[in-house]
Amino acid sequence: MKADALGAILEERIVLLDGAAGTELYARGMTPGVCPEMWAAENPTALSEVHRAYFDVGCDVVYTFTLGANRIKMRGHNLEADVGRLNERLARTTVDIAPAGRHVAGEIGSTGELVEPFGPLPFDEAVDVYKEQIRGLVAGGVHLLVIETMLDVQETRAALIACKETTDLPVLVSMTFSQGERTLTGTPPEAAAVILQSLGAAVVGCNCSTGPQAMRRIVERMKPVARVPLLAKPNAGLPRVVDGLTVFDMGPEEFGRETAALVDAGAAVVGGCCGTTPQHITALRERIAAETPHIPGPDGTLRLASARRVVSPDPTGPITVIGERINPTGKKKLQKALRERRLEVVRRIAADQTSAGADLLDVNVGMHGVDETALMVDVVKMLSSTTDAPLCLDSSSADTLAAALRVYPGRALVNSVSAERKKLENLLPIAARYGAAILVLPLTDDGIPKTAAERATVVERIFAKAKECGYTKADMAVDGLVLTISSDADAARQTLETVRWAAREFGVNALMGLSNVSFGLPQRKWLNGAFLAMGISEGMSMVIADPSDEVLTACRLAADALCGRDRDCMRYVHHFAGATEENTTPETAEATARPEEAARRAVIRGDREAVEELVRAALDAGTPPFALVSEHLIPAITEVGDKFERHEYFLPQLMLSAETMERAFAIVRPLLEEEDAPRAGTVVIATVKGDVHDIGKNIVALMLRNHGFDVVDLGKDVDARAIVDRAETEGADLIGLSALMTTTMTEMPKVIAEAQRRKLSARVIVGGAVVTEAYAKEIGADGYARDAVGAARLAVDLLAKKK
Amino acid sequence: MRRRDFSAIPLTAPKESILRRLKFRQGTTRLAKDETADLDALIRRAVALCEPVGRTATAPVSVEGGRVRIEGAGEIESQSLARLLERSTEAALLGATVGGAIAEAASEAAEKGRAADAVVYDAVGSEMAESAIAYLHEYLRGEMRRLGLSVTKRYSPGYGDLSLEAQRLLHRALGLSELGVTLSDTLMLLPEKSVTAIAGIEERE
Repeated sequence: MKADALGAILEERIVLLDGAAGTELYARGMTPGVCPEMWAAENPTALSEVHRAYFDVGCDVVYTFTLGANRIKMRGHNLEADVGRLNERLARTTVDIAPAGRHVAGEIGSTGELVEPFGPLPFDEAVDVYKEQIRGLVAGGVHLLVIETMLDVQETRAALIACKETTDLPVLVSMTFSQGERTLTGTPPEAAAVILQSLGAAVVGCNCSTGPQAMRRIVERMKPVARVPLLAKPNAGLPRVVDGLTVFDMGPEEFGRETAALVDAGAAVVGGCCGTTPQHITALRERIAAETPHIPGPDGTLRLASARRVVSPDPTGPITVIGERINPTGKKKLQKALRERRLEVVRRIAADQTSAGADLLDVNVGMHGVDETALMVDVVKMLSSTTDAPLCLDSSSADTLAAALRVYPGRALVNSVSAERKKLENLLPIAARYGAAILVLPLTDDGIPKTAAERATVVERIFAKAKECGYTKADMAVDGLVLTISSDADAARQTLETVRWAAREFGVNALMGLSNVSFGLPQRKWLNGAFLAMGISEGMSMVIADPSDEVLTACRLAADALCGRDRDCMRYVHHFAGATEENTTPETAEATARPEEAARRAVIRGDREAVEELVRAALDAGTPPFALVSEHLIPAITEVGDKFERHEYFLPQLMLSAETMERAFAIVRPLLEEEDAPRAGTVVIATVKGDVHDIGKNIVALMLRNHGFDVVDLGKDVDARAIVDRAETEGADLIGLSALMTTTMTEMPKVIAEAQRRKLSARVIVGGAVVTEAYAKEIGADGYARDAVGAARLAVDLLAKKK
Repeated sequence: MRRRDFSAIPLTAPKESILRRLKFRQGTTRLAKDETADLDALIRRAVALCEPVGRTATAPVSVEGGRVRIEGAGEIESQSLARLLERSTEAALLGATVGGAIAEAASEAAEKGRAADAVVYDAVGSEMAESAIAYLHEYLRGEMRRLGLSVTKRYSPGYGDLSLEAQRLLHRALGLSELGVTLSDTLMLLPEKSVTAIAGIEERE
């Protein structure tokens, strides 16, 4: 079957696919537990009967019975050595009975393993596994291929790449979506459609998992982004297992009616999956006989996708920001991190940029002394599972781009393709092979054309070449090429003119990488910001920039609003909401407050930076150290504790205030000793033996210090005897014990028993996630506290009683 | 046992649960705009330190009295787990970790006197680990749903009468050492931000 054979049917009517084969084979004697594919191969008469029945009811395409006939699945039946022969044999069985004008699709399914970066199966190994199966199917004479019931877009890409690298047969690709309208690994329908059609699928769609009603939303979500016909092959309702047998509740009439509705939603290729029979398909055929298929075509919209999100730059909407920060040029810390493969640094830059407004992330790891290809692949794999933003892969190396595009589970933008001979010859076909969009740079082997008119000519030349690789204008963006105005006063004007031409005349997305324009000039941010606004007014729809740059962000939002690209100025308003209401009151009040009062407020506010100066000022002004502590600082931290208990403050605010208090205390403590001021007491604190959780204990220690206690923190995993030894040595007033687990809280009574045995006067207080007041009483503790604020209060109360 | 590895679990930072863990109360707790920005940046920094990975394993299960027998793994005594799995034909064992870097960062922050940072790191680590095991659970649910089966809620050692002793069985059966997760004598999973759970697979009603 040639690639256009499906198209020929679609010019006239909906393509009708077959229904389920497995349940039909069970009805003919196959039993649970056997290898279904091998059973079918050994019972060709039964298989032929099932498939002939589907041809007899008018199916245009019948799938071979080879869904699980890949090496990995067959390994479970110790049949991996037979994969090629088995696929050929099963394909031949169906091909031999296909009437003229009907087609057999070689069926390919999941291996059951997760492919990298989401799982351990190396991508190229997955491709090899599929190639083996495909060779068998092709040898068996199939007319086209179908990849179906796929749970993960990356495994689906591996299968599709294997198809493309093995044969020219058209490939139908169909994924399975869960209740949340995503695949099991989180890909939404529109992202799956963008990724797979770009990679060369002739048809994309969905099958299995749900009945036709639930599948409607999936088709509806794919339709706006589809450039190829859509496929829908639902189950006969949701499966149920009754007494070990899978049953489906939807009868032929209902199935036919509901599945026909998927044609209204946009499906042009339909059939049935689990639980359907030739009767279901007959009912469907009758319902769709008069329907005209929806055949999508290019719609002029550039679409990029990660495995979890589609981004479509829009010349009439807010500008799309490509975050530029993942680039080691001029960034020593990032260079060092990349050399040491500390990819968490890249992960953080990615998160910071997307949080600041980046829609796409440019990824460039080129620098001296690293294996750029290996590093790029590692970074791309890591980002694939940690950011939703599609990637813009930025390298001048064809090998690096080829390796990165191969493993990237999305549709990337390649940065960039110029008219330099090597790039056109090497890079363009690589980008095309993986369905990537291209960023076109009007640059030739002779350098950068000076005028916009010359650049336009170069862009047209590149586009002519790109068309030969299957590209349309919707698959590309043009870079206006920014040069520095300090060396050429006309540079910015020519760039803007190139942008205007690309956006308004040539009809593609136009972008700029801003910062070159201001090179060598002071206060570059103003030039960059103004230039960005000018570009937006010329129709630029994408920009490569640092999204965390406040000036650029302000200019971008203002220009979008002024150019009518921000509906009702909502984004502008949202971004600047509250900007005029910055809280200046505390500072104003601070200026007039006495220093001890200002110190008190600093503790309440958690102003670590200001408190030391304020405490010194209070002492210099003559406030006695003990009075400063007892009348201002401790009341402040007590008030913070009250705010925490009323939930006005949450834990980080409590901790900020506690840190602030700690700094204040560090200054006052030596003076209190000189003053011979009353002491709050000494606490020995520890997380008990066998327990390594210490964050809660650390918080309690901090709060106790805040209340003037001398705290001896023994750390975590501390033996009972060691705790009591130290309490004895220090003459502790209190012992504080923390445990987070039921297996370790049993250490607490050991400490209490040891302290009692030695007749220590220290009171013992306990706490931790699994500890309760009742447990504290049961083991004879003197007190229990639910949290750090409670612990401090308890300590103060207990020692007051003791005194 | 049939195992499945998840080498990189794609997670979105569960900000609401992180805030809840930090005792943030919507409408009551007050944060200035710059405090919110600082907190968001800190959460992003913390999330960047998490590397969520996981493994699932399934095996036939049988329940007798309060005793749960998982083929190829062993037996667990727990009335509450037995009740959960009473209709199950298979048990699913789940294990996930976000690695050690986040807990190390929390300790380092605490040691350097940055307690506010420490509590945020700690909360992010805990919630990311919870999200990771929830991801495995949801994956399994989606997979089983296609087969007409359903998956029960998940149950972890320490819940009800399911003793922490069950960590030994889970750790061994899942081969969590291969994911870099060890088990202490006191049955603590290390790195600290690691979670295990058991769920049942049963026919859908």
